Amino acid sequence: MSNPVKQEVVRAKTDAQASDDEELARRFRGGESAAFDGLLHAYQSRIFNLAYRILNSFEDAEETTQEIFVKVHSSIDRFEGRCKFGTWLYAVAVNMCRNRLRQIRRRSSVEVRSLDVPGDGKPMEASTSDAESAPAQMERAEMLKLVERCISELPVEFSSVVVLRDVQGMSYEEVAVALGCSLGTVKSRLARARHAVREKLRPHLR
Amino acid sequence: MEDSMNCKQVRAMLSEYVDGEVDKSMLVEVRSHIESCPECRQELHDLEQTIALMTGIGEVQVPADLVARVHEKIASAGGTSAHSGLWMFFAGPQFRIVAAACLILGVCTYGLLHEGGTRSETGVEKPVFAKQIVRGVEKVPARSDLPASKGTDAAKDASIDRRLVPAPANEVSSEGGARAALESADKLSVARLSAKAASPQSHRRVDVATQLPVDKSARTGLFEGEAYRAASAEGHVSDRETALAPRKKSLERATEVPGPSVRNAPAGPAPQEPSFVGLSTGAEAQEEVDTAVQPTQTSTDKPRHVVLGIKIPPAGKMNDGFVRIRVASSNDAVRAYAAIKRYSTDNTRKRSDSAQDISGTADASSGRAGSQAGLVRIRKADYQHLISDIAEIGVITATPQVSESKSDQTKTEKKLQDAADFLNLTVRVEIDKPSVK
Repeated sequence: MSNPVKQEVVRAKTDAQASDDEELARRFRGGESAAFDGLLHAYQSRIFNLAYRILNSFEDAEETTQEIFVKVHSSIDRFEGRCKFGTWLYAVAVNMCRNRLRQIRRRSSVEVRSLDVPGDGKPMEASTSDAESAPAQMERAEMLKLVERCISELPVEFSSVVVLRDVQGMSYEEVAVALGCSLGTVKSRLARARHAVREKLRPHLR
Repeated sequence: MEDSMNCKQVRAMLSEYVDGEVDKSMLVEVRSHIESCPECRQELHDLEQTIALMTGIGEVQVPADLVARVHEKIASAGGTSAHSGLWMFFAGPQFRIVAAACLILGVCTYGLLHEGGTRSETGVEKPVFAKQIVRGVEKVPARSDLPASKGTDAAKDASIDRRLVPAPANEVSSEGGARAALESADKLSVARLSAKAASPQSHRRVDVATQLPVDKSARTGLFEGEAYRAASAEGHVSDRETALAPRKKSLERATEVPGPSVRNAPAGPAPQEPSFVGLSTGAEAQEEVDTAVQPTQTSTDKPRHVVLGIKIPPAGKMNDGFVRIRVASSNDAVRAYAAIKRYSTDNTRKRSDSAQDISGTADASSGRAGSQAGLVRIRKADYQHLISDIAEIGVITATPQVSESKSDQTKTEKKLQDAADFLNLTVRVEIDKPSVK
């Protein structure tokens, strides 16, 4: 079960921050450069982690996060305040992660991601050769690495939902707001994404 | 199983059940099913373990210098900050209005000064954009033989042309006017090419990077997007301009070789090769106008094409998450269409012309016009990427066939005009010969 305490903490923090963020965004739109720093500090961790989980590469995540904030800085006048700043920022972030994934795919000819046929359809192996079937016998670090790979192999629409909900601990509503989609969409994507990850991990689960 | 819910229904709700998001009305049923069904219980157990693992991966530490790097990048982007005062002015709508007003004023003044008293019925109330300018100039040869009753557009085009480009004093006859227009168009093309090729910032401008010289092998070869990506992937290029160096080199050749001047050329069939194709984004359209209205003395092959500058559909118009792009395609357009096709949602096109089909048609007809036109629906999220891909491809071309009747040619042009409403591309219409029907 996902950690309810963590979720509560995040929710409380998010609620308190939301109005601050809107205010910062408003001031930044008004030309106050210092407000951008506030937004940058407020969101850098969340955006970086989102990018990292989607891209599964520290370097790519770092570069993409930089690009995301540069984009936000140069395009703030396009943010019209019709949605929350966080929603807009996440939309920019998810799009840029998607674009980066495409570039990575072009570079490495990675197969197109699909939920229906996850990867080659086979359960993922742990990175070491002696991958045992029981998670109890597997090093926790290896297992987590495997989970990271599973998440990053999901299509972006799904990995972003999983990361925001299960890794970053957002509520369904917050995920819906952040990604600009309906609650039903969040539920459905989350269920499918979890199912896909579970299928990959199944051999390693008790 | 005694409860009313079956395993499939329950398993579909397990994710919500774990999160406590199941409706209260269903909760009892789901719970009782899970208690009575070992398979579903196992599913639930696996799901909980999976979620716990995902939660457990935690967050990674943000690189310490992330903020500094962001600031560095913003600073290195120069004046592109949204809030550097000048940028805000230049990026804002006020600037566009002022620029458009200045442009129209400048163009009209220039036209009045050089028109020799032949004021056009088009007037100044119609905004003159790059596409109209160049289109007008270059359409003249094709329409010069239109009957008087249908001559309004041709007259408009010629008029626009004459207002934009000074015709030599000895070229006042209609034939001479057409030739002058042709030559002027030629000059405009060369001016644009030269200016852009010489620009040190050309790699930042799509239209510069995608200028194509007249080279059929280039048009039929690997498109530049692929070349660029291939080169990039191998780390052979540092930027787009480098990747497009062969094209630019070819461009330089095209501008260096002195082609027969239209003014001095004997009357007769004009050379067939278009001198370039262009591509512009909406934001660059105004810049193109600036360049386009600067006639130069450089001369090259006669252009035989129409270039339409096309605006980017603003993001705000993509209300439902999709942007619809109408594509009239043939030749090079096949490649652009193929790019579009990659991002299109398959079942929304009106015709069944897959990119492959179009490609085959174009290959078979070796340069003749294809009749395909379709409405493709592009995911909003993919739109920018698509535009970027098309920018690398560089052109959409359609070639009305000489054998086409005038009405068919008009229809083709209409289709392209429609495409111009949707596509962020320069569309070139090649007309092999002046219309004969």
